[in-house]
Amino acid sequence: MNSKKIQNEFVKGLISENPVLGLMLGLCSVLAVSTEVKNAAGMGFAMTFVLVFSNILVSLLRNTIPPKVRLPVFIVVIATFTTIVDLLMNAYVPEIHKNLGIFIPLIVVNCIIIARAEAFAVKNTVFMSVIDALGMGLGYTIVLMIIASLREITGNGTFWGIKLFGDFSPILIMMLPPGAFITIGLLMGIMRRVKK
Amino acid sequence: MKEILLILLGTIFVNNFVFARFLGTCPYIGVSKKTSDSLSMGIAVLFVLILASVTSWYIHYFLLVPLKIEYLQTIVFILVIASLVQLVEMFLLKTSPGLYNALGIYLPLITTNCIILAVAILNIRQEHNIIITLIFTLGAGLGFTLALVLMSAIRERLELSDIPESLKSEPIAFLTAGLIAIAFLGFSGIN
Amino acid sequence: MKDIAKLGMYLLIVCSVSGISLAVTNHFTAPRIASEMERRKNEAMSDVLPAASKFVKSKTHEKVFEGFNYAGARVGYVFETLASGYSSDIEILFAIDNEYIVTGVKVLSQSETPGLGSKVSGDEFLKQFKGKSREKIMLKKAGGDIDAVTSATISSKAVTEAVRSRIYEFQKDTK
Repeated sequence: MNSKKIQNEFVKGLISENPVLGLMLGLCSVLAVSTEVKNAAGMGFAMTFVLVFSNILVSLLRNTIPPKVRLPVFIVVIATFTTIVDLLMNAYVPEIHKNLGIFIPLIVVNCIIIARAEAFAVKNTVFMSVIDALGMGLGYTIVLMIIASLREITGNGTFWGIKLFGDFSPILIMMLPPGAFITIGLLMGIMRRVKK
Repeated sequence: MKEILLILLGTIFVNNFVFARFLGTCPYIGVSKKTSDSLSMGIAVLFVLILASVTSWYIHYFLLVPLKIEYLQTIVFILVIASLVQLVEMFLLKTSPGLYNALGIYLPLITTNCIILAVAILNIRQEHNIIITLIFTLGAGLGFTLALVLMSAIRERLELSDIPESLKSEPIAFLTAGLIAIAFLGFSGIN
Repeated sequence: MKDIAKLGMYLLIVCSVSGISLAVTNHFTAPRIASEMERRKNEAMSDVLPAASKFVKSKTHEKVFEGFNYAGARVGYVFETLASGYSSDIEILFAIDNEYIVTGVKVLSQSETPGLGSKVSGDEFLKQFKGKSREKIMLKKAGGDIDAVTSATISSKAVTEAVRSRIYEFQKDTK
């Protein structure tokens, strides 16, 4: 296994095939959770957890899954890990769990995870599937945290809950839904520019 | 009666599922290029929404709760939704092939539409009875359709205008959504 | 036919494994989750009724808890109430002592306008309620003692009214 290939598989999830800005997947959660950096980090972790383990299991089973039922199988696998991360977060980090609310169970319909199972994990080795999952998960988390940073700093004057400036008039709209749409639109535009 | 109206107003405008709650955004971006497509998608989603919400509501209260397996909610609900979409697909194929073709690939996509799962879960979390569940779900679906149709009407116009290359298509769709979201913010004073 | 049986079998196995692993995870996390919820609830109630060390659900009223001190004497009541805010439902937890004087108010959840109405969760607004009787719990503009949050009259009024009317109802019921 040459390490250049591994590196490529990992890096593609960050830039060229960034799941959020490039492939346009997983948008609902990105828009909704990006009001605070702390919550964004929790969401990124939860999503990556589910993605990695789903990819592992789907890859392990890849030669046994009858093609006709592969979608239901993916769904059961992803839903299982989503529920596991839901229960674990509720038990060990209840505050973040409460802030993320309904978006934790919604990880199961996060298009990124199903897309990677279908497009990659079912055709590749477990090791490569893990690399793919880590790259995609990281790409997702990074975008989520960038947007959350922009929104929290300009809209609330804080970062991870810590007040940054003294007397600061926050740009309220950033914390509200329109702020999310506008930020992500601009970021997508920038990403397109960069890729040229 | 007044309560029904309030719930509908709330879910269609004040807390519109796309512009305020961010649910249903994925297909929203892909589908909203043509107004006719958007309307079809919206209606299909509304239909599945109602079926799914009602079914999952009953399953939750008559199966999950009595057996104390509420933690299986996510997995049971999503399987119900996936099955319903399959059934609807098969039903349409047999009874109305024209409609089936019109909806094309959008049908299977409805399964992963976060709005369906979200509404099913919200109805439980907010402790709605079955009537409120129906109304809430109806409002959610109508609001989603409204969002889709609004967006595609604007995007159709945008296709013909001069936009910087990097903003074309999706980025401008989001910026537009942002502007519409600002407009919808104006509804939040209604109580 | 055999095909469908095979497919069904496969799915059944996958679902069973999934079900079992979830049941196991739930078994290990459920106690922690339950005790955390209990702890949070008691902590919130202690916050608004510091004199009490034990809280018992009222047998006569809904959404009311009676607070008892170490000696077993009842020191007050804790209420859960919902206010219709500007853009959201505001979940309020507040307590009164035996003389119907407010000992504390806490906002459990709200989605009011960030930076404006959301300030009703803040100490600056809520501390005004302490030590006041029902008659004083009105916005200053209406003749009471409560200063509304600047530019957030609707949210402030919602909370104030919710607390006041709840005390009023309770007082009527128990006098």
